[in-house]
Amino acid sequence: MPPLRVVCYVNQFFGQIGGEDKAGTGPQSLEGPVGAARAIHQALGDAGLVVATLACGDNYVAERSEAAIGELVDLAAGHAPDLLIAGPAFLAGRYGVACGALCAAAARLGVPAVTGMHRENPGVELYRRRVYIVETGADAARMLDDARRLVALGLKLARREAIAAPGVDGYFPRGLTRNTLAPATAARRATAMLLDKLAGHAVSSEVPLPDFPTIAAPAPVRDLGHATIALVTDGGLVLKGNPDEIEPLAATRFGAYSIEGQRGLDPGRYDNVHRGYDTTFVKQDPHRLVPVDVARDMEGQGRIGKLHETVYSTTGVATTLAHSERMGREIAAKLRAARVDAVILTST
Amino acid sequence: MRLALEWSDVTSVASGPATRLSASALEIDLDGLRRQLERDPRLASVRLDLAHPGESCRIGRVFDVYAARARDDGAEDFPGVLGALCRVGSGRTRALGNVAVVVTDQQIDNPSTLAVIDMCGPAAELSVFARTHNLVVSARPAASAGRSEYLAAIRQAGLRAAVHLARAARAVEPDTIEVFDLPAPTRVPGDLAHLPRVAYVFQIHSHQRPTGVDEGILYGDPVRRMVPTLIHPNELLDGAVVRGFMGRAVTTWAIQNHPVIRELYALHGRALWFTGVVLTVAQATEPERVRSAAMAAGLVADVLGADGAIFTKIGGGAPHVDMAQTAALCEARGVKTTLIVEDMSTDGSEEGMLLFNFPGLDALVNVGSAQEKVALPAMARTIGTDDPAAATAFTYGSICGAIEQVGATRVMALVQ
Amino acid sequence: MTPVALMVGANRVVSAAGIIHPLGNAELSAEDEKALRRRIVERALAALATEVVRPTVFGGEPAPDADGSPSQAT
Repeated sequence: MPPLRVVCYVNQFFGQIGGEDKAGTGPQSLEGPVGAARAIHQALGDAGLVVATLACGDNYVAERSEAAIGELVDLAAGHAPDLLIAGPAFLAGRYGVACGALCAAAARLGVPAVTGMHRENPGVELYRRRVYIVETGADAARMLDDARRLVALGLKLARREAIAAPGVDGYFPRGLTRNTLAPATAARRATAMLLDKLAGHAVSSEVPLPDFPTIAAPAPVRDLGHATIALVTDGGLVLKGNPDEIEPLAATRFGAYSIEGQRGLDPGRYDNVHRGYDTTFVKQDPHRLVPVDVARDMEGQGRIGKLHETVYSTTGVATTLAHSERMGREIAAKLRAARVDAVILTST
Repeated sequence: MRLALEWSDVTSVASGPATRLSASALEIDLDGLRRQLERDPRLASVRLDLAHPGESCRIGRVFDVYAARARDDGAEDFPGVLGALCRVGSGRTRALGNVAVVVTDQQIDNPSTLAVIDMCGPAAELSVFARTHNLVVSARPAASAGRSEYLAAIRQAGLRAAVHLARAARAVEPDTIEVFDLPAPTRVPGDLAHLPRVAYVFQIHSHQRPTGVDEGILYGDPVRRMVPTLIHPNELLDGAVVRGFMGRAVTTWAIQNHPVIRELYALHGRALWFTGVVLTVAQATEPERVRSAAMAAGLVADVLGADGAIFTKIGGGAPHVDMAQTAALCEARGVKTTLIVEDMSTDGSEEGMLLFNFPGLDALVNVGSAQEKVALPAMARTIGTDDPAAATAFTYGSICGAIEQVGATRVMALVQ
Repeated sequence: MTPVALMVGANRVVSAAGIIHPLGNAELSAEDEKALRRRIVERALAALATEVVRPTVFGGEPAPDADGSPSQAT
């Protein structure tokens, strides 16, 4: 197998250009392994050679972000690399973020890429989901060791070999789940885990526990009689024919249905695509999901100031957190622009 | 209570003039069995096929899978669903090893919610049903048969076939006998009283999909108003519970071969004392969920006197909430818990694995992700479906037997 | 599903009448059903008008009796 063509990325310090005073230096391509890239070159042995070292000042990248990364990617592409190795960045924050961004951009172009940094480098949390980041020490004290592990994972990626679990190949968990075959059945593993727990041993959960940020509670509505209330649901209400093509599962879209001038929801005009519950009852009478009838009564009686003229709806089954948050933000923006004061969200 | 499962190994299955078992070769009178099953007025016609391990064959539209079992001492089989009502779980039951009855659903228009079984290839490595000789029952509904009626009918056909096959074993001596012997939880011998007492909390249905009147689950009861209750584990191994009509993450086969119960039995009297099983259903309203969780936790902590409990669920997010709520109440009483969950993520992300959890429920085992895609090759032959055996993208969840919520398989989602 | 709502950080949560008909009950007459719906929406309005500092559940509609008749609202 011919040696792989490897391009390395280093910052101004590890590229031996200078210290913090040179952090504004623009991107440059140096021939062969320069500075810290020599450790990578050494670790590659016969498997590959560093054909070029790209160097750039940390501030240059931090200030120009995408544009700077674009310039670096172009420089890298010019060398037709089989593999891009950035860093290791250790604890250097701007450097770590630049390494992560560069590897993510390279991967988008189909160039296998890997970087390394210390677990507290901000680049880890920002990029571990998109980029393979090897865990290194806090500084260059064990550079050769870290370089070896970077190269080992890099070679696997370049050769399109199967990547092992994070603990084995030494990278930060990418937050992705993948089915594997465990040595024993789930029933056996569960029993063993329980016995461990009963014996007071620490157990290693097979599922990370969810951790949701607190959301500051909005101030209460002072005067309901003059407030505009909107109705929203994740119960899968759609117009007949589902013209907005809201997915029955893992929704990425929501519908905005006008109820202007309507006293209620006519079951003949609506349908329901939710796959997570028996929708018979809400199809018979959509008010069992979105209480337009009662809200109209309240509007007429002055209990609320106004019922907002648009009902928003999506399906809340197997919806990803990312899409849920995005849709929530988008709906909230529209409601705010329409001067809605409060929302009643019906969830199934 | 003592149950003896009398196993007969089966190494070959073929059609024959009569159903008989001789030296691990099973012959099935397919014509005779088919005629018998066609007597059900809810069915217009029945087709029986055989699929063998290693064949290039895909069984489509899988509704459920049954283990071939037949009571050997005059007691009823699958009481309340097939046989007359009586209690099971003690005495002798014949069982055929390596044989399964697979029932396909020929009525549903869109089979995308149903599963497949491949007898060879990558799917075969994930499912026990690629290693069993499968008798496939495909029945067409009578014109008058509604959905619920049809499903009740094909389930009965499958169970009838399962019993028919297992009865062939009565003529021969069993190859192995497995004894499941568990006294009542109050009768613990003094010298074993130090063992940790472990209970199993088994969620057998979720009311987010209400059961039909003929959708018997527990001794034929559709469990529409079931409050948490106790059952002897032998009853579950012997046909007291069959799966409902919805969902594909548990097969009746997995209940008949219940892996948690078998594992607890294996360790019983040595590493733990198996103190009993609590049956629950996942509720659809908040007050009922609160009631169910409180009562189930009470059974675990105060009636079974458990030190630890293992939990499984049936279904998706809502059932998980019920299970977690019950487990949290157990933990509050000092009962240690372990939960078997499914990776629910639809985008492969770690955050999406678990939609919900209570703090303190730190011992979770997962049965894999049903959403993860897997490419399956074409098969030379298909049973139970008219779709051409073309290579199509499948998911783990669409491979029958790959993802089993009671923990029967080794598939596991690993965070990477 | 109120525990899920609390876990993800929703600050004002009102328990409704069940997954398959959160704001209704097919076993009630149309009139009783609408009254049930009104009670739950009233509870929602009350929640919107109440100061909260953390995820809070507001009241709950008791499950209907087995014969379908509604219990007293809390």
